Amino acid sequence: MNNEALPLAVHADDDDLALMSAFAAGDAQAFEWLYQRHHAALYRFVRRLLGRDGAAQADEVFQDTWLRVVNARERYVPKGASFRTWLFTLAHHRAVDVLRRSGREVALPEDDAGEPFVPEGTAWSLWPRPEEAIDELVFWRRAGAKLLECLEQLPVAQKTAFLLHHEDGITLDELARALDIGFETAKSRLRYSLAKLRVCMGAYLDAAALQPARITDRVP
Amino acid sequence: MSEDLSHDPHLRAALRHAPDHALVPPSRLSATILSAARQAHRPARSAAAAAPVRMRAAGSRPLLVWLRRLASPRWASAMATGLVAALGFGLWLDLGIEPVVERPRVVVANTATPAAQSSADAASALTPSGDAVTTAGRVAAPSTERATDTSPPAPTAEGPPTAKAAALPPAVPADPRAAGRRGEPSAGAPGRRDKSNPLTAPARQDAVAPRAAAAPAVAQAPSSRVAEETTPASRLNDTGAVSAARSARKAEQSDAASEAAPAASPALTLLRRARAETATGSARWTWTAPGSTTMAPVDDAAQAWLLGVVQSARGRWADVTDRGDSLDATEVRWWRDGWPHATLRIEAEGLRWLEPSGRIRYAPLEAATLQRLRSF
Repeated sequence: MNNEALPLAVHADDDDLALMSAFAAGDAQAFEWLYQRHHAALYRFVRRLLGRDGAAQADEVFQDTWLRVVNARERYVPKGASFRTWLFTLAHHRAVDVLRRSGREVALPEDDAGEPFVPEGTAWSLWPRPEEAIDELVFWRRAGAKLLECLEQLPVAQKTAFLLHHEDGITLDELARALDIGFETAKSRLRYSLAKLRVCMGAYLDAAALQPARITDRVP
Repeated sequence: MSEDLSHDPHLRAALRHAPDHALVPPSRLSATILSAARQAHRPARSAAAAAPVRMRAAGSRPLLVWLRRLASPRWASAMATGLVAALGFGLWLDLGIEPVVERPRVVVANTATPAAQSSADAASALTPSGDAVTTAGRVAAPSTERATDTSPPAPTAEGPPTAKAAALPPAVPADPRAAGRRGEPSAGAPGRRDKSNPLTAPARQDAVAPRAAAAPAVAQAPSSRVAEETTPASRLNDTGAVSAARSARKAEQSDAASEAAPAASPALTLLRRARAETATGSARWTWTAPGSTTMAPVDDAAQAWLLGVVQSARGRWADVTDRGDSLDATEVRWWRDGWPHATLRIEAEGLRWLEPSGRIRYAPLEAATLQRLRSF
């Protein structure tokens, strides 16, 4: 899917809400713009949420999420959350259904402080060898791969909190409202996810902290 | 919100550089969704036509229709008849033909030494699966001819190994453990069965047992005759071989479930998976070859190299806890759909296999073999 696939650019400047309204009023092209804006991020979110083991169901969850949007076009009411947050929440619920069905979703006590988190795998995995000279881009790519490895080890609830907060930039308030949980619960999930990821990332974050700001400045 | 919960710039940077960052849904999926959206606004007749798009994706309506059809007496009786016929045919294949065709082959088959016999039988037995390993640890090619070609030469005193076999990596035939794996009773481990190779051990036993029992005394015929009479055509036409293949497949399926055994060969598991998924296109496998730092697809050359690892380390893998962080090790890594899948360290005295789950396996190897594996 690319921009060339869109026949007219009449909706290019519309916000998501306007597009959804136009779609509800019968403008199919508005939906294509919505899809164009969010499809890649949503697909990535679903893949990450389902993890390696659930990758086979990612297409099903992704498709079902969009079809729910189609079917709910006339009933859609923002309710204080953005369209994107609503969309990602739909995907989250659908992904949890799939995980529950496959027996891979484990109920998580909100207070996750019972046992210390011990990451699986080795802290040095993908870490460059001493003689291996790599540039910053390669370093961050490896850090990205390592982060995906670490995300696999998080419960779905914590993974969702982290991804929505860090990748999609929604606030804790929005997170709590979208997932229909209390603010403290949302905060707690995010805190545990960050703590675990920092442990799991280990040397990568230490090294990143030692790097000058230019590394993170380069992030688009 | 506390300071601790603000956006972590490093984690965000890592997220944005993750290998899946450029991932997009398949175009067919996008087309289906956009088509459903377009049809949602059409008049009632068109909207009704849009429904199957969703249902087809979910797979529920056609399934229900078929289930309803199958529930009718006519379909049920037809199915039952078909099943009985298939069962009868299967039993006829198993019981009726095998002894007749098997007998002359016993003489031929036993002209080779028991070890070679079991190798050749296992090779022919495993060929139909298209992705199996012969007794000597070599992976059978999808074509039957290749499978026969790669079956190991008889280690008899009459003649040297064929040139092709010599060109392949050594499969440690002199190792007493290898004898045990071939079903030859050894003084040290009578009746021992090697569980390290999930494919060959049971297939070998199942496929060879009736032949070995039928003519135990025949031996020491010229190896040229063995080669002549164990051609691919004769093997394929032999219903006994078909039966043996069936047994091998059953054994393969049962052993596939126990691949998590402590000494299972991780390289073999990876090779089988990479081959199958590459063939069907269901996953993209990449790796960094020894001495290389660039990712490349797991193509035929990569699979051949991995096959060398399978052969060299066959039966030697053992679970360990030591990570063995030696700096001079050569590392090889595999990714599945961009996700880290495994790391192999070629160390000074052996191979160390590390998985993201934290499981570590080690196979001690000779220096020459390790040196050979370092080159790609």
